[in-house]
Amino acid sequence: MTDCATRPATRLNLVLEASAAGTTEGVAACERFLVQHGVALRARLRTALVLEEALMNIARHGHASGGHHHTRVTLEVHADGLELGLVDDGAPFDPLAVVLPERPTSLEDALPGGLGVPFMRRFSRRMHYERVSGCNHLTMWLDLS
Amino acid sequence: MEVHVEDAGVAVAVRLSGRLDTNGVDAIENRFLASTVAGGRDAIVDLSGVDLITSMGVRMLIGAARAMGQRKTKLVLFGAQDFVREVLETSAVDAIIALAGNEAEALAIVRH
Repeated sequence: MTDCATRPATRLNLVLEASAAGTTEGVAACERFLVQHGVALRARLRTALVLEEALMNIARHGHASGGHHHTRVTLEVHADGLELGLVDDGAPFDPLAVVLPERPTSLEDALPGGLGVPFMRRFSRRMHYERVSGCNHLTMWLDLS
Repeated sequence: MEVHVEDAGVAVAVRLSGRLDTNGVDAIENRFLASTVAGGRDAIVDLSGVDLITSMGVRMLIGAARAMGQRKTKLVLFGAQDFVREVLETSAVDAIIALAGNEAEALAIVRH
């Protein structure tokens, strides 16, 4: 049997419901895929964090009109890092254009939300966003170590 | 995600283990708030068994600390692993909730 037939695929493709359940399913599937590829724990935790934040943003804010929507997720293992892609047909949302809130200095100042985008930016090595044919295309590159 | 609650003398000790993500918070939030906010005592929260915290987990901790502050009780976190500490620092939790290295330090903050 050839090596390419036995070696696990280096790209994972998922179609997930835009919901909390879809988020949980996606994070678990990506974790299994990364374990299969021997990716270090810290990189797996980083991936789980940014993926949950991105998917929950879409689930909560992407579809004001309701209905069932899906997000396409791809995850690739490269020699120099991980490439995580998300495509959704929700409202346009560029996480790179968001003005981050100031760091709170007291509990009274702390806002209950708004941490997803700061986490995605902090724990990605690089991000790219574009709106194509009515869909958000977000790609995040993550360190392997 | 699991929660274990113990009496640590001057405070209640709440030990969390697992992932404090959307799923984890759904599973334990009611018990966590009952043990901390509703308990009416100072609380120390052991994060040494938590390997991941997301914005949902941070929101739960800030909500509990704020509610306890209004009741004049303290919430002190301790034992965060490196990655969890990095997430807490990114969200400025370390600036608004006491974050101790270990249980003895957490109890000292409560006594202070």
